[in-house]
Amino acid sequence: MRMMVLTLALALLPAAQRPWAEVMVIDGDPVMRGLPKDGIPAIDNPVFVPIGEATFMDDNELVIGVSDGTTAKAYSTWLLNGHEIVNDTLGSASIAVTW
Amino acid sequence: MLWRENLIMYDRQTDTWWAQASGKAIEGPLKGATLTLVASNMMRWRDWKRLHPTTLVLSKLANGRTRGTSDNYEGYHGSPNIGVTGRLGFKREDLAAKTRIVGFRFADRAYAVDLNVLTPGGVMIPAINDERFVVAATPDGSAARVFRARSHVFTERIEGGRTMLVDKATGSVWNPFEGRAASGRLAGTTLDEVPVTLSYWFAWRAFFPDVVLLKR
Repeated sequence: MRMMVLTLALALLPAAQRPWAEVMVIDGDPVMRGLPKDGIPAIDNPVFVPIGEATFMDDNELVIGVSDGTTAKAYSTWLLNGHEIVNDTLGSASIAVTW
Repeated sequence: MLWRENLIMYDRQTDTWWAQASGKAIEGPLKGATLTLVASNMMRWRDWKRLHPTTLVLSKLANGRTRGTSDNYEGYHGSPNIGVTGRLGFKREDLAAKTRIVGFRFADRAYAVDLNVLTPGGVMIPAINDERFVVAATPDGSAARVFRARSHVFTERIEGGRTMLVDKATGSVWNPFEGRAASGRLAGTTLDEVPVTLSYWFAWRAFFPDVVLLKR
């Protein structure tokens, strides 16, 4: 429990203020861990709304957009700051939207 | 985890580690494999919804609370810090480390365009090998889309304060940001889009050390 609370508190800190630890070196560069695995939770069952319901969006915020010609989807980077990854689909394809 | 100041992801099936910027597996059972990049881009919400009026948007409402109401990396964007772990060396001097660029890949090579070089709503038509590309900035110049020009030879023309592209061979006038012919024989035709990443110069360069900085 204490570990969970600590993880939660670290996840809320700006990344620059986390205590980073070197895990290993790959191709000459260190792999740095700032949080335990899944400390930043991916979004697995994303819920989408049409523009008319997107009152939570700011016109100036940066989004990642995907489109297959039929469906277009936008993902707020402000929301993704706290998740980094959305496991989703586009048409029949499985996609990971990452930030 | 971070490697070269960029996200490492793991997959739940094999626990392979994947580097976000390159899509390459750098450790684990699938090491050496590469993910396929899906047609995608990054821009402000106002520009995206203009391009895609029927777009869906990921909900920010969870458990009755709205999250992500501001950018909690605002302080980082304004700081001179290169990355967050302080472990990335940056030696290339041709452009300031935190210059915002639009990056893309073509034929096993990475390219970058300095967003400061593009004027708001402006266009750049770089040639790579024998291929020409159209780099089209958003109206405020904070992002850009990239298209393949294919056989079209474009010249710029300002119409109503907006940069349009004229394709004399077909007598068509193109809206570069929409990547679409607005009038002329090819009206309604679209250009093929190249997936882009908006990034800081140092971050793109960390993954693609031989990245080519495209000039006007």
